[in-house]
Amino acid sequence: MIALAEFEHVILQDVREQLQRMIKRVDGLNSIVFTDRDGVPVVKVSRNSQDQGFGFAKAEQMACSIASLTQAGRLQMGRPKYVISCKDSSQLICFNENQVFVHLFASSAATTGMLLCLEKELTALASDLSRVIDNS
Amino acid sequence: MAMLRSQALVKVLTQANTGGIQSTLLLNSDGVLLAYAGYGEHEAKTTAALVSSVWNLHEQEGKGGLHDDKVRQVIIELEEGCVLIMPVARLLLCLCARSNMDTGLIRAKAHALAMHLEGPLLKIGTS
Repeated sequence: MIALAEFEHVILQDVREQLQRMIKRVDGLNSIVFTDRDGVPVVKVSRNSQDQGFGFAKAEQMACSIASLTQAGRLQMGRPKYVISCKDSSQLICFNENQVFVHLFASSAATTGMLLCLEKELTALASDLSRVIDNS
Repeated sequence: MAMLRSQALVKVLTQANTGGIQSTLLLNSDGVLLAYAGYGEHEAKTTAALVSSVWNLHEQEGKGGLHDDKVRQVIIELEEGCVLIMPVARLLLCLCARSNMDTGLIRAKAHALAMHLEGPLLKIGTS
């Protein structure tokens, strides 16, 4: 049991480090949050340490993105892969990775294409995390 | 008093249905279809209802904060296609495309269509 807890801790630490590197690499990307199906954060990483708390607004945004992906699944066009919500001053991308949802919070100045390019790397991390979620 | 010529509106929407775009819809925020160009009209009504529901989710979420961050566009990528939703003169424009079409092209088409429709639709809204 202790070995499993240590294993989970190592995986989460590794995921956090990789996400930090990703945030530094992409201009305008402010934070990355992994949540479960209910929108409960599993891992959250921000560019600014002040953002680590994640206010009510972000929780609401994440819940809305998950709900909209659920609605989109009824369009009879297959499984929804991601949703992009472009606003006046920000943009939010939510990737649907089965058990885990990945949310990218970025400024409107960030290149959407660059954010979408992160999908492959995020999928690999999400599969690692879903293993942890499965075990717990 | 300005009136809406539905046939002319459908013709304009049809012009967007090339190169992978399967259908173009114009609807209000309640999900009521105003004009539609594409295949399968009975499916269009369901799509309109779902699309408006998705838009309202994103729009509601931006409200109530200290600074109002309005939603300009919502793009949903699915396994078998892509759906783009954007506001045009208090209505919603929705483009449904096949999966092989690039998102940037759908965005460009939606933007061009919105620019074209915005003026005339605003006239009707204010008259």
